[in-house]
Amino acid sequence: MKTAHRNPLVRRYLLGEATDEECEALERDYFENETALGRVESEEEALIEEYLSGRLNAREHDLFERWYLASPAHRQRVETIRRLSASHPAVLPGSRTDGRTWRFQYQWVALAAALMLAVGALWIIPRKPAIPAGQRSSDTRSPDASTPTQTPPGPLPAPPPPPRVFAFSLRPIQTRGADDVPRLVIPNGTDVVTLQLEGTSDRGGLDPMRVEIRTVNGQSVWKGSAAGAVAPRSGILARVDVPAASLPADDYIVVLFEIGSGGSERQRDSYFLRVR
Amino acid sequence: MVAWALMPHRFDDDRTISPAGFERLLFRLDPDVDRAALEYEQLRRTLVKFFDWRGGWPPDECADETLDRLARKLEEVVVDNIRQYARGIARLVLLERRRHHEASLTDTDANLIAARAAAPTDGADDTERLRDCFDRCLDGFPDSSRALVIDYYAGERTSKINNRRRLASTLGLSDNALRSRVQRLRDRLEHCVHECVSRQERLHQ
Repeated sequence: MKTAHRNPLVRRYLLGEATDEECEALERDYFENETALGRVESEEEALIEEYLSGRLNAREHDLFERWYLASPAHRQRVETIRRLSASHPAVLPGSRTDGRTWRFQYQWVALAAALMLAVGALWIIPRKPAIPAGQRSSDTRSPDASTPTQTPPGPLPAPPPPPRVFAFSLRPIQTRGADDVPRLVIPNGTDVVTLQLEGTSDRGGLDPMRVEIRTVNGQSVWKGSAAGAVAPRSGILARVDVPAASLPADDYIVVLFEIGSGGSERQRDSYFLRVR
Repeated sequence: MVAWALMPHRFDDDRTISPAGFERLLFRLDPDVDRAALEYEQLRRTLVKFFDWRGGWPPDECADETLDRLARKLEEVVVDNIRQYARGIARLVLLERRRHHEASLTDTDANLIAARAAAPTDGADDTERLRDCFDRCLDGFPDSSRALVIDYYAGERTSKINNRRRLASTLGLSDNALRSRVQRLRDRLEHCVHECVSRQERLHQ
């Protein structure tokens, strides 16, 4: 199963770029055939998910916001998928979960039940007499006991889950209207927020870069180095991973600095970010 | 009588479709009444999607208007391909709606739309309202449906793909069937949220 189906014609249709002839052909197809309708729905979902995770290229991102999000129904759809994506519990250290998500934690209940069964099985399997700690020696082991006797049989413990990352694109303040303030709602359970910083020019960042995030009062809340020229064609100039815990609901200024060969710093761009 | 049970709203308002016209439409979709009901639902769903994607607002209303006109046309003319005929009517309805509501349908001010995109609701009250409606509607789902729709959207990239594969395999569904099932649940959720938000907005006006 793919998350991004990349059907260019369907994408153009959804983004309002298809010609009349293309629209006609596509519509003829999906009025006749449910599978064709499913293909368009599938592409629409991929488009929304790519938008929400900041994976649309600059052109598609622009069309998405200009055309697709012009419809109130589409804005609500995007919001629904954003909330559904954020509703899944992530039982991670320091994760933010709300009270209502406990009901969906059945996977973890199932894992716990499996572990309890494994422990229970160990308990009822006839065991050799316990050997006091410190007296265990090679002659007390059976010849094939190459692994410690404490190791439970059955499934290995699951590796720690990877951090949950939420990506978000920001445009420089200079290219946004006064009222055009991106609002970021960080999904519950997010560990890392990846900010994808777009540039004011096509010139990619060749020098090392760093980012500082300040509240609008000027208080610095986070500093760190940025990965530069991540995807210059998509307009992304730099990307930075910020711990979600560093971004409680507030208004922030994100400042991108370029570091010259001599260590001198130059402000490259700045961005406004509203976390809610 | 599945067909009638599915469409109780069809004669509640001042639409001009007659019961005989509606019956004729169902019969043209399929002589078997139960299959006709499914065909009708599928055609209506296709119409709603068409208006949704082409900017016909509100899509439900446009779809119903198309079906009403289709039913009336069937009294006057012989139609070979009913679905393609419905598509032709839908395009006309779309054009008419665009003419009448051009200002609201061609809302292309980039900054305004970009701002809307970034902040789908306009204020704290709206955000709260939307969140409340979303939670309430999702809570109204049966446990299994709620778990499915949430599980479907879990993860990012590779983990999401693997998660969906696992879900499809667990439920014994193909990838497409899983997506289609979730799509219908999400349609219901969106509809419920929309209704709930509209209701609350009316209450606060």
